[in-house]
Amino acid sequence: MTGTVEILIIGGGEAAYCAAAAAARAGAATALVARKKSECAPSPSSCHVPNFVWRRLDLQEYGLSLEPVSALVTLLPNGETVASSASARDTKAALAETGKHDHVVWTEFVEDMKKLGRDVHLSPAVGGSGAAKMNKLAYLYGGLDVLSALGQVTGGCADLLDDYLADEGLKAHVAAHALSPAGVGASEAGGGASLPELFSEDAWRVRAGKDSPQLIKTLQTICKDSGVDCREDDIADIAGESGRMQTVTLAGGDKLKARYILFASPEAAAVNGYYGDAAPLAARGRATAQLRIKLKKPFAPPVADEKAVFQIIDDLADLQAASDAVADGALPDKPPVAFEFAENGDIIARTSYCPKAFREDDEWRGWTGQDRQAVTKRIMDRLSDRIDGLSVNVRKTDFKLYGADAPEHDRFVNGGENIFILPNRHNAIAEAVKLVDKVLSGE
Amino acid sequence: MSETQGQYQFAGRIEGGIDAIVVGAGFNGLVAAAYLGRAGLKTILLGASADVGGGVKERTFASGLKYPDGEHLVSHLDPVMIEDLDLYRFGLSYAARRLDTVYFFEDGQSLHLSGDLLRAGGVEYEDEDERAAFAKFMEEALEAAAFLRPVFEPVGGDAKAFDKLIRSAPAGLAARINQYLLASVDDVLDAGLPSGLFKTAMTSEAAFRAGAAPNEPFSFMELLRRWSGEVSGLQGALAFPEGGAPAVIDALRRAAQAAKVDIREAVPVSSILIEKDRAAGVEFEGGGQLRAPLIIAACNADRAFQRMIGPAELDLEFQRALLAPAPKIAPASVHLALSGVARDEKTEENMRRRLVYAPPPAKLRRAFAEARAGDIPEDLIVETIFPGALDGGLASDSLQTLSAIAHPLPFDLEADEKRREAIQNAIFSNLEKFAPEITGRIEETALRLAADRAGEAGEKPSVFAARGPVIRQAALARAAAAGNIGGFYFCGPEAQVGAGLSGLAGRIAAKRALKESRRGGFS
Repeated sequence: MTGTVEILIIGGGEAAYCAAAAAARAGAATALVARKKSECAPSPSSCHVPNFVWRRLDLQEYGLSLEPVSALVTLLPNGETVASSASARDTKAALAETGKHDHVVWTEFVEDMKKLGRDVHLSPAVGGSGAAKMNKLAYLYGGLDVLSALGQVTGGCADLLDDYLADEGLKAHVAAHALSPAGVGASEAGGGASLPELFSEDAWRVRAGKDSPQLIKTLQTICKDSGVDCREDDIADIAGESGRMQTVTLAGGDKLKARYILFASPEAAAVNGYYGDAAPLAARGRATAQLRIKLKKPFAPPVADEKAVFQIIDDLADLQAASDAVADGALPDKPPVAFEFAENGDIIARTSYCPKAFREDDEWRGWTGQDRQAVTKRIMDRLSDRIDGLSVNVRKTDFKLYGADAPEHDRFVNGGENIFILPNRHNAIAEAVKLVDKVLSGE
Repeated sequence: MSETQGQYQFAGRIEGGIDAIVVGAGFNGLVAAAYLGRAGLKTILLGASADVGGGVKERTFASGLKYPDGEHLVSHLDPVMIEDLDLYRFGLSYAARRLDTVYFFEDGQSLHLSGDLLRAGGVEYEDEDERAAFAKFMEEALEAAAFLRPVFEPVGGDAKAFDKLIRSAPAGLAARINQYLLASVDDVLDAGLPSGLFKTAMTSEAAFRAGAAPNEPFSFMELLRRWSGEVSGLQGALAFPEGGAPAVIDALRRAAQAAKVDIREAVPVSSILIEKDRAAGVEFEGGGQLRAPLIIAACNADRAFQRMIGPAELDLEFQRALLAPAPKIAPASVHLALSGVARDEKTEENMRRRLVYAPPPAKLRRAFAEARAGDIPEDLIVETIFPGALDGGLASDSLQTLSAIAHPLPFDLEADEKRREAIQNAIFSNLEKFAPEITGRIEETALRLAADRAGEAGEKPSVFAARGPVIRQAALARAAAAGNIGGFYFCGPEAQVGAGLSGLAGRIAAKRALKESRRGGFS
């Protein structure tokens, strides 16, 4: 079976379905290819759905109701916790209450990060103000207005945090939430770009409300209703000249011709054997381990509530140490762990600090059962250390690994071939739809 | 010409009748002063320390054997500057041009590449597919490096000018440049050179003296910058001046003296006088003043802008951009006097090459992580040359000199004896990996860290550390050199992209100053 489309979206997450639905509703012939087993670990919360996307897709007609997650929480050692909420003012007040002196700069910090996000964008084809029509190079070397912003986003996350904050716990909190979805270290170049993304207007995560269908299911329905050619398959090959129609061969043998191709996340590209530039938060060679923990009896989190997003790390250095271990092809001793509560009370814990393959005696090898047990144990250790009585409350754990089955050899692509990889982590839905609009309007 | 020290610092003394002042007697300061002097301007060059040349100078071992300290090869000497200042007439000459490079690998293999990079792809190699991939990679990277040369220059032009430049590129090249721009070394090499010795060699070449590990974003541009330079008309080549890099400083100094530049050493400037939004002169730490309508600052930007000019005169965005995070990684160099080096022709020939130890990429990545954490890595890239073999004046009958730069090492503001010894041992153990038993031949050793050079040059140590991403360096260089204050120009280290002797920033600052002076922009 063959077909010709204007734009092909590759990926199985919310951003992919949003992008496909938005493209189809804009009148473009659209196809979406997602693997049977999604490349991204499904999570109880999803990326923020901005108003313009909501209206474009008429989400209210599908009985959907989304509510923002209640807080971002980090569980530090010795019972210390840090929490922030969607409102910078509330967070400031909460910080003041816990005696954190940094409350005086918090709102300024958040405002500056938002401004930084408007000033400079490193995403392919998504330029900052005025840059959309201009070449990426010209824009970056442009002038005084992007100069300091450029220094901040190309530097490490820790450096940018040091410019504003003094409290180590608060810095660890912000860095953990900003970097851990991508498995990046706090000193790595480009990590600074995660902060404007985390604090952008379109980043605060949401969960489906009571009695609401899941966002992803709704989006799949909308895609079908809008005539998106949805397929469950892998990409075998993409061939075509720069700027021309690309011929996409699917693993099942079907061929599709597409003018534009958009991988909706770095993982979607990686599992299909592609990677791109411009992705400080798209570190290659990583996998994500997810553990679903069924509990014997429900329990309330140590702070905040069941609708918060939690991170566990000891300090800023944890993130870098974990990233360095992964780059070496090893499992970190203390992987940063994120967890949330599912609707039924299960704990969904995950770490993105896992290697795609292991390196032993200079040889690479794949994941084994022992590795799965090792990472399970390390995630459990971290959770038990922070949550009293967890270890005796576990009924069952279910382990899943994402991204480790990516092909060893991958291909480097960029916007020049009309193949795009969306690198955004925190505001992926908004940026995916914006990118689709830019691509389809020929910018 | 007069060389005077200190005596101009009397409080209350005001000296006038001068056309131009250059603050900072490093390489770019000398270049700028020589240009101004040659144009007939009465020019004074003020050095903060007793040394002209920014820490690049000839030193002597206890045995009396000389070694060139500072930079050990040149790759970016501005050809226009050499011609304009007639440096060949003032003594510049090359003892060796287009040095071949031999890369040594952990498993004992080696790879010999031509110093003419365009021919490097033609190397004899057993695996023809890998060699062809390497030849293609070199061709594409060199083309991009040559095209991007204006990007690495601190010259005017705005976003639109760059946009025009990129649009003038053929479609394939433009796409590749967009790809290179934000990519890591690994990203680009994995695509073009997925395995083999070529990948290991090029990873080390790109990571040498860089501030970020090869798996980090933006790191690939460092290699393009390195290959954007030219020496005696050959792109990406490396040369050894007769007498080493200090001889370039000497030639420049002679050129400046011939141009009647008044060089004054050890006169620290405390501030630059701004009157009616124009530069009017400088004030010394002792209180005296020197007045002139043109001022060129060739010291670090922090000192020039924040301290000498002061924040009140500066654009806020620019001030923010100057706030760079403290560097964490720096190279270190070591100079050795070796005894018992064979004198046969083959050994001599081998010693006239640049020898580079290239650790396996995985170990190199770990080394960057360790250096950043303040630890001394086990594996280091070591670039080695034998100055005495390249230039007979730098060897004696019994001793041969070796000069090595090792990277990545932790950036220390100061290092105690124990730390210095540990750094030295790490460099030696990596030298041993390709030159077994060399340590047994060492008669004399001089370890030079960033802090050592800084002390002598009267600069801050971070100037000699590895710097941030090239895209940021280039953007900052253009902004710093732009000059928004009348009569004031900047050509300090931040006006240059990357390390090494170039002189381009000095030339551009001087040319701009001259243009303004001819226009009669001041009275």
